[in-house]
Amino acid sequence: MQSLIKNRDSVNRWMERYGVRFGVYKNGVFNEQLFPFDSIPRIIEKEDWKVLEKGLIQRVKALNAFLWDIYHDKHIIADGVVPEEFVYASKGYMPECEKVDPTGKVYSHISGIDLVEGKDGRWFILEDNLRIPSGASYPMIAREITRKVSPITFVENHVADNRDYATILKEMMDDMNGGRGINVILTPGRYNSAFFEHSYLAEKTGAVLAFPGDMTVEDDIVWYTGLFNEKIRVGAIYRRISDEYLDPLAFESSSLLGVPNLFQAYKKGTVAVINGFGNGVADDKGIYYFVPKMIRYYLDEEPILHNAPTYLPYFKEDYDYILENISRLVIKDVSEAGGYGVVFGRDLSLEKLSELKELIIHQPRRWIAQEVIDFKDLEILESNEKVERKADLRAFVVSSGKDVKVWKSGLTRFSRNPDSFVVNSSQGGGFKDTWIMD
Amino acid sequence: MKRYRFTYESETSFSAQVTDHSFMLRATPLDCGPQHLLSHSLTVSPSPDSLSEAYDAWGARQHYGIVRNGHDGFRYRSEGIVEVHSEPRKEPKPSPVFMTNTPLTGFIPEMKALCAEGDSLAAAMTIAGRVMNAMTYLPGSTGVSTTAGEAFSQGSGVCQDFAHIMVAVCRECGIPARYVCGLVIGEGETHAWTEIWHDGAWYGIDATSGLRCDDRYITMAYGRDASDCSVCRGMFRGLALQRTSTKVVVEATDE
Amino acid sequence: MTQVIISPAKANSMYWLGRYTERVYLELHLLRICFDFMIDGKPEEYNRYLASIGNTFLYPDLAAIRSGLVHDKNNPVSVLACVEMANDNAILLRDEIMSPTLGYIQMSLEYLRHAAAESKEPDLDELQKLTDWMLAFWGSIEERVYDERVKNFLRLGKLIEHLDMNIRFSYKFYRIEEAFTSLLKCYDFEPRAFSGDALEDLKKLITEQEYDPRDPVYVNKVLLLLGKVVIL
Repeated sequence: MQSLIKNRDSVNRWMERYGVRFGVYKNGVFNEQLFPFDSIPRIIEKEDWKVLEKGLIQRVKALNAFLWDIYHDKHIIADGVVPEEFVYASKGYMPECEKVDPTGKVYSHISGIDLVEGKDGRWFILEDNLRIPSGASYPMIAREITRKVSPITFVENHVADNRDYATILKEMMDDMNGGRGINVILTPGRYNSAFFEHSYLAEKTGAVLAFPGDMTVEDDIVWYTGLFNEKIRVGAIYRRISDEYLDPLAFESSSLLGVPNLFQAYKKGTVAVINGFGNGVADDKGIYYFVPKMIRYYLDEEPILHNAPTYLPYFKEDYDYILENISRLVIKDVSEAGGYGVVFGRDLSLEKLSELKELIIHQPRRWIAQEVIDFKDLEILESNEKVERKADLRAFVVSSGKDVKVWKSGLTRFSRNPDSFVVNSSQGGGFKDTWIMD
Repeated sequence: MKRYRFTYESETSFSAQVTDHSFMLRATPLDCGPQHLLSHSLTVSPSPDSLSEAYDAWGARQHYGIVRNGHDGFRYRSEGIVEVHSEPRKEPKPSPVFMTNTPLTGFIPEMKALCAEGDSLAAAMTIAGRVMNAMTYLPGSTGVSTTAGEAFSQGSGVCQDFAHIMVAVCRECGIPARYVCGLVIGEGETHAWTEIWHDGAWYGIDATSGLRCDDRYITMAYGRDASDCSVCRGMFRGLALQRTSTKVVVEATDE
Repeated sequence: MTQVIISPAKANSMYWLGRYTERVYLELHLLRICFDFMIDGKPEEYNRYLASIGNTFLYPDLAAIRSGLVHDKNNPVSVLACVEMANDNAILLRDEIMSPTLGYIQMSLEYLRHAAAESKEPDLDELQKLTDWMLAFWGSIEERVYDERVKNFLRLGKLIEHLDMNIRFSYKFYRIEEAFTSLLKCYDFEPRAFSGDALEDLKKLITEQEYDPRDPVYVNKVLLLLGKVVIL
């Protein structure tokens, strides 16, 4: 116990020293907060990991196949597996991406798949993040620090080394780049909540950290502006700016963050954009329901990992079930991200429940409902005592043109609040290391 | 069928030198369906370091590139001869994206009175008449980012707003609808109208006049709303105020 | 080893990071002298110090001056304000200078922010930590950064700040000459980072005959040129 407390405190001190922070705006003021580390690791046994790893690879392969299909021949719609309104009415569907071939046919290079473990030890997929999933840098640096402050921990426990994330990332970027130019990580700037991560990944992968305005497009080639007007060709852009802000001449014209005419270069295939454009159509909370069907459809395999039991009001049977059982379900607004727009039926007054029902009746496409999963709580240190809290796991799956790899680690986030089921870091909470046993 | 000689000319002046000026133009009439582009040329000055061509998601022609060196003015001129036929634009099945409203075409409950039912072309004509009656054409009363709801609430706007409201109401009534940007005969600026899908084809309807579009309407681009059809966009380095003047001339020709 | 790719904005950050870290180091050194004057309570001595460092803030008493010069983040000459500025530049350069190097700036900032929040009387003994961290920062650069251009831009900032402060505080000419000679070596390495005109003017002014740090007109002229000579 004493050593856990000591480790927690030393790791947090070192993280402060290295500036491991995330930015938050509160009432219009920018503040950089620490992301508290908890020293009790989440442990995943080797056998369990083998199943998770296989299941994650399978899921991401199917999601990439779905994205390609949706922006090309649309077999899955023609065959009636996914209803077309779920695709085209999704905010994430981008008609501009029709018939555009991304390098190596990869759309989601870095996928952040959120899972929870049930009390019975079964894992459930909570959501897929295929746009710009963040968070890998925290367990990366925490492990590096823990190895330093407490080497004995890793002598005594046979934990898979997770210090290869930067290498996995770099190999993927190099593969996508194909030697056409430099790799860059494009950040919106230091006031972005994940700026630490952007700069740390640049340090670790050797990619150039690029800021808005550093790149231009000439003859469909992306150029990085070096010193004294030196022009350096860019081959792959790991962008941390969302689609709509990435090219002001193609999308949101007021964006000052983007690279003008980048989308044209992407269309011509002269540069890899990581992750690709238009991925939002596949990580929509509504499309989530169809992922197991995609796995069967594209891979002809049974899904290894399960979704949380989900109901779509769009289907009559589910609609009736939801209205009947709303008080014990969790209702999610498909258009919101990051723990926002998540409501637990049991927390609502009768009046609020009937308001929610009205919303569902009026806009059935906007909502999904899920059974509340009986999470397995994880122990954390609250001051100097062990208590149990809700936690999830974000697994990082990296896809290049050649292979799909799952990082032997992940981001385990927990909620500080004993009553909260929402473990998103933008709503408070901390993280712990994830040990995959060797 | 009619033939027109058209010129689209635009000049932007900057209050200070700007550099690394990237631009994207969508100033060329479509060359498909009921419209044929018989000849066309486009010039940009200062002479750009690159000038490339592409088609946007809906088939409109784009010219884009970059002017790197410092300049305080930017001009382009798109001209040619186009042939237009008075027939609808055939498409067996409309893309479902034209059935969902966007932030610019957001439907508000107050628009319910404009809704109409029945045969979609007839219903759309009824809606167009109602839009025309509910709105006053008033230049300067709205801007490029005014939404359908804002324009409708104030009861005035320009062709862009009429078209947005028309699109919003049609989509709400289950009629696939899209925003169109183009040119009409005479001198002036670009014009905007709406196309609705009915029985295998897109029909142009001009909500500013409440009438069907015919061979007097030259289509340059269409999309979900006005932001899909911007004629010109740019981004540059430098702190400068800018002023743009545009001149459009369209005249019938026998050439 | 491939060459590090540097954008104009990053080169600018390197230059300012060099300036502000040097400034923090020199301010701490000079503050010790100023605080020493205060022991004897000779207002003209420490007033001269306040003028040289360019302080324009008014404080009611000696204790307030002491804490203001260290902890007042609104006063641009305070140590805290300079560390904040160093950090604002360093944080953009994590991938060039590496996390451990950035750590020395982060620790300095955390220390001062806490001390300021607790309205502690500046503790010269504890402030030695900051001096050590600034030296460690430069040591870490030497140890971890191999790209000569990165080092050169940081060094440029450091030398400009060194000249600026030494002239403000009327250091002897040989000290100025040493730093200026180093600056000229930076010029040989990357002349495009310099305004040739400003450098020529400086060469005329930084000579044994011309050097006159007690003459405010001379000092202003040189400080102005120092601010213009690097164009990054």
